[in-house]
Amino acid sequence: MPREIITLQAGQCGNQIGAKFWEQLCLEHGLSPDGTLRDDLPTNASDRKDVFFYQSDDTRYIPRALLIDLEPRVISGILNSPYARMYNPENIYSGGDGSGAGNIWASGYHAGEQLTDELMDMLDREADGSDSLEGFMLMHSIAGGTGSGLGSFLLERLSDRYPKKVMQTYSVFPATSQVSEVVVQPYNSLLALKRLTQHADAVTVLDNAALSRLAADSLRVQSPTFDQTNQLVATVMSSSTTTLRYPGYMHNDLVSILASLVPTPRCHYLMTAYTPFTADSVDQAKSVRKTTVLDVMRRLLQPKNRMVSTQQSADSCFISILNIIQGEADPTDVHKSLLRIRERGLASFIPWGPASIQVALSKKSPYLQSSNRVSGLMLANHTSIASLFKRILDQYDRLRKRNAFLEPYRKQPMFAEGLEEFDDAREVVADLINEYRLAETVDYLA
Amino acid sequence: MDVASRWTPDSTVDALATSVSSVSLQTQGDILASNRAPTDPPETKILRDIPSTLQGLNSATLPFSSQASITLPTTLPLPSISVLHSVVEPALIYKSLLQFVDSPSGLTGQAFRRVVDAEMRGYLTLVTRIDEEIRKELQHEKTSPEWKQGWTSGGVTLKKCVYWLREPTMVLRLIADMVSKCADLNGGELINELYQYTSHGDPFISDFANRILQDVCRPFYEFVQQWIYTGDFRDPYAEFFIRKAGPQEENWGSKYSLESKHVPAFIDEDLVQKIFQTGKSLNFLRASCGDGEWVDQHGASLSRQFSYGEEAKDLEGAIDVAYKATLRHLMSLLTSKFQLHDHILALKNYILLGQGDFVAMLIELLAPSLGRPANTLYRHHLTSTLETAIRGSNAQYSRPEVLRNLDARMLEFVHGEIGWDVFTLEYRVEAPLDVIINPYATRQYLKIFNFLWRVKHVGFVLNVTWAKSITGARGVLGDVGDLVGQDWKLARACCGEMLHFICQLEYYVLYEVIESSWSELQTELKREDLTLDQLIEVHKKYLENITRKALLASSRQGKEDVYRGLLHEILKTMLAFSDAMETLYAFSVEEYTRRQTGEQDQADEALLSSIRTTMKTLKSEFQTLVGKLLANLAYQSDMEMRFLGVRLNYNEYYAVSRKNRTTEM
Repeated sequence: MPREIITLQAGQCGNQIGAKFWEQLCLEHGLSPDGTLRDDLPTNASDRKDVFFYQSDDTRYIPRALLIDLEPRVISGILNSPYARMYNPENIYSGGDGSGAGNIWASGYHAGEQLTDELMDMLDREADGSDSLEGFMLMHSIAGGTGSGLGSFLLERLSDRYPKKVMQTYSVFPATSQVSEVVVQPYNSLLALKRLTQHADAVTVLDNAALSRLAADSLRVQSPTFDQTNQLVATVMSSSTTTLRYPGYMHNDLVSILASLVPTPRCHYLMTAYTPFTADSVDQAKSVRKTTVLDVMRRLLQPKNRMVSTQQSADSCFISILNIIQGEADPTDVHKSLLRIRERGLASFIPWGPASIQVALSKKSPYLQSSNRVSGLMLANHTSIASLFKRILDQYDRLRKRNAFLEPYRKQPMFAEGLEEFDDAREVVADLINEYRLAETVDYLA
Repeated sequence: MDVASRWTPDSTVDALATSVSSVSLQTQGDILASNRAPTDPPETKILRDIPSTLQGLNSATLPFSSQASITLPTTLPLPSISVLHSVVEPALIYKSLLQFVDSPSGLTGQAFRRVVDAEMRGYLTLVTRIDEEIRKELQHEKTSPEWKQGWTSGGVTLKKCVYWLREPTMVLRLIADMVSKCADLNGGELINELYQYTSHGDPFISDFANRILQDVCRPFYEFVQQWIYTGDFRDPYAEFFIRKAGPQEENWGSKYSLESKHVPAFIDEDLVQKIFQTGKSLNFLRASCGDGEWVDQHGASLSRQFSYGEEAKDLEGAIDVAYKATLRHLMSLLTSKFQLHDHILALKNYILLGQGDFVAMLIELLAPSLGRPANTLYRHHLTSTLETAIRGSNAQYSRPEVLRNLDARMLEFVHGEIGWDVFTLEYRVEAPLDVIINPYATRQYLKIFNFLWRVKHVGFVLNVTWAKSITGARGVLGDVGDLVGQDWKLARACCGEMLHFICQLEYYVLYEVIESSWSELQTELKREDLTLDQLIEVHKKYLENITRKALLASSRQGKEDVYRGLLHEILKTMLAFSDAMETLYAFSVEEYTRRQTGEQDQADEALLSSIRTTMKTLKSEFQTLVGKLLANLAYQSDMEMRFLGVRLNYNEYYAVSRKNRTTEM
């Protein structure tokens, strides 16, 4: 009776990230691409595969994963890869023609509505196959059509159908500072942001700008490919679930991880940082620097290592931090690092409640050869995340003022009657920004 | 007159010195004797009686007046009395020793008595010879004119007897001195008393002492030999330096102990320990590990005799060989056959909750039933739940030998207690490991388990409450936000505060306390030549470290209850708060339903306001208690414990003041 987690990967980005994630899990659990235990590796009983996998009749490990896309390109890529046989074919929905959602949130959403029965069947079947389902993990991007729109639809339906299960998402935000190839990106983002706010319990925010910067920095390339940035995301995902898969003393289920991060339901957007990215996690990465626990914990606090670009103000602060340290970390070093960080004032926290850097020490997969002694992932709830939402809101406002590119939305049922949904979403996001601003003040609870 | 008792080692030297000069004087005196007037009784008569006296027998002229005194004829002139004094001294000593050699004693004492006995027999041989000389003389003299006057012609005289008896008298005096000091001593004490004579400045005394020690020490060496080669404890008279406790002693560690007063002075402390540990381990191997075969082999291949006076390095070398061989074998047996490390690890995984997924599952499965009164619980339900938790977690990969030892049961309960109060996991080990994981250790484990289990329980309850309140915000709770939104905000913030506390406390106990004590233990266990006693000790230290740092005990007297009491109150407040949140949840759902069904009744304002009051009270109670705890931790001398305070208040949310410090609850 593990605390199972069902993953959903929606859209092009979601499926690309998902594919990398599952590849990573195979490596960490000593599975070959078809889901069988690799017999060239020693068996090791310290891991738990059943949180993310179940065993088929022929003892292959099958991901508890739903692969959903409205256009076939990415999924057929997966199905032509060595990992094709690993997935349960019944869990794959791939749109037949090449059109997809055309980068329009509303089409993605509407496609979801039309596919409700099919998608819910897949979900229910997967949920029924688990003993004590803990929750869902959605991987998607919020900029486009399918991940954003269909993803939003899925969030709404899941929240309604499984009200007591935890909903976590890994959401890739657009690189808002750059000119986007998708002009309606602010519309899509805003509409998805409303669902993420209202129907998810925790959203891990990854932003393409930061991912590219990090990839470029660690890989020393001018413009990293999506494949490379997706690898970063997979590393973050695998690290943040490592305590579920390699159980230790604490944080063995999703709830206990999120409970220490999210004290208030609206402020559930988490930023991540990871260090060091090495050749183990990313091909062609820089050679390894010296990694001590203190190095790792200090670097995790540096904005340049975060996978999201936010603007910090004087008041921005941490609501909570959970550092997952993997490898040979001596509790004494953790102890010293925490003292040092506190002495130097490297992290500022909310004034309305106790907060600290919580640490989870986790085992490293015995199947991975690793050149660095210690690596760390930070999951943090930081008020500066609101600056990201503010940027989306500003871009939306600029676009909306001109009433630009609204035609494709009006064609969909949700907007057929009017554009109130936009206003509503805008209000939700504005409220969210406000909530984060309030959380920086001592009177937050008043 | 008790001659023996007048002697001390110092006076012995003086006495001997004077005697030597007087011997030569008196031989010259012999020549003058022929001119003496006859004495009463005559010397010939005394001479005839002398052999009897020397053997301690009564005679007409020299009757023993008691065990330790003799009556000299008062009619003799002073010089003769003086000579007679010297002649009868060995007789008196001999007579007193006769009693001594027949006195009962232990093995060492018996050996000593045999040595004394042999010396006495040597003395008797001399007496026989004196007797012969006297007889011959008397025979020959019967015809001489002096005989008629009662004088010998000078061949054998009393003075000559004194001369002949000089040496044996010295020996007898020395023996008498030894006996006077050792009569009631036995074993090591006796050996040590005798050993003192070996450092005497007089080579005659030191040589003599060394010589007799060879014999006296024999039983001791035989005991050592037996002990370090077979592990058999043979000490019928309780005279050696190892004591065996009575059969009622359950704690193996205290079964044998060192008796320092019996440790021979010529064996150094280090060697004593080695001897002690070797035999103890052999004994353990045979009695508890069922490995008598190895012990026999060990004895057969290494056994040798020891003796007093043997080169120290040979002795030490031999003992060292036996010691190392035994320890090596014992440790490898404990680790390989009895899998000591596996069991200690299992205790950490199950009793100290290291196997997180198993513990989480067990708590979740048991939660519904443990909330009920303790008397409604059934043992078989607990064991079957345990079974499920094992099968459903990575615990299933533990070896069957380990899992077999794991059990779930209830402690004795009093009326009103619920399942959470009385549930316990238990890990039983069998012989021989129960020597290390002994009843004391088991009690410590249980104590730690109960504490950790309580923390886990509260953590679990808070997590469930959190999940309910957060997922609820997506639906039901969000819809009644206008009425209870602020209540939920406050409730969640407080729940978060409590979760923060629990997480920090858990992290502290599990990593900083248990994990670091564990790595210390691992280092200790890897040490070469770890003795069984040390093994028991390092394991005990490991547990005591944990109980002390986990705030379950304190090095300072009277402080213990402060932390335990505070933590207990804090955890209790958390449970109460979580209950209050459940009530708020129920209230919110009811309100939601009311609105959905469009009922006209008003929300139950009274209930809501009572929930609000309860939450407010609990929150402030919680914060007061945390404040007290922090104030106490801030002045804690232990670094790690002080650091727990820092962690709990990392962003200095709580104001810690000295006056909050508690000395009693």
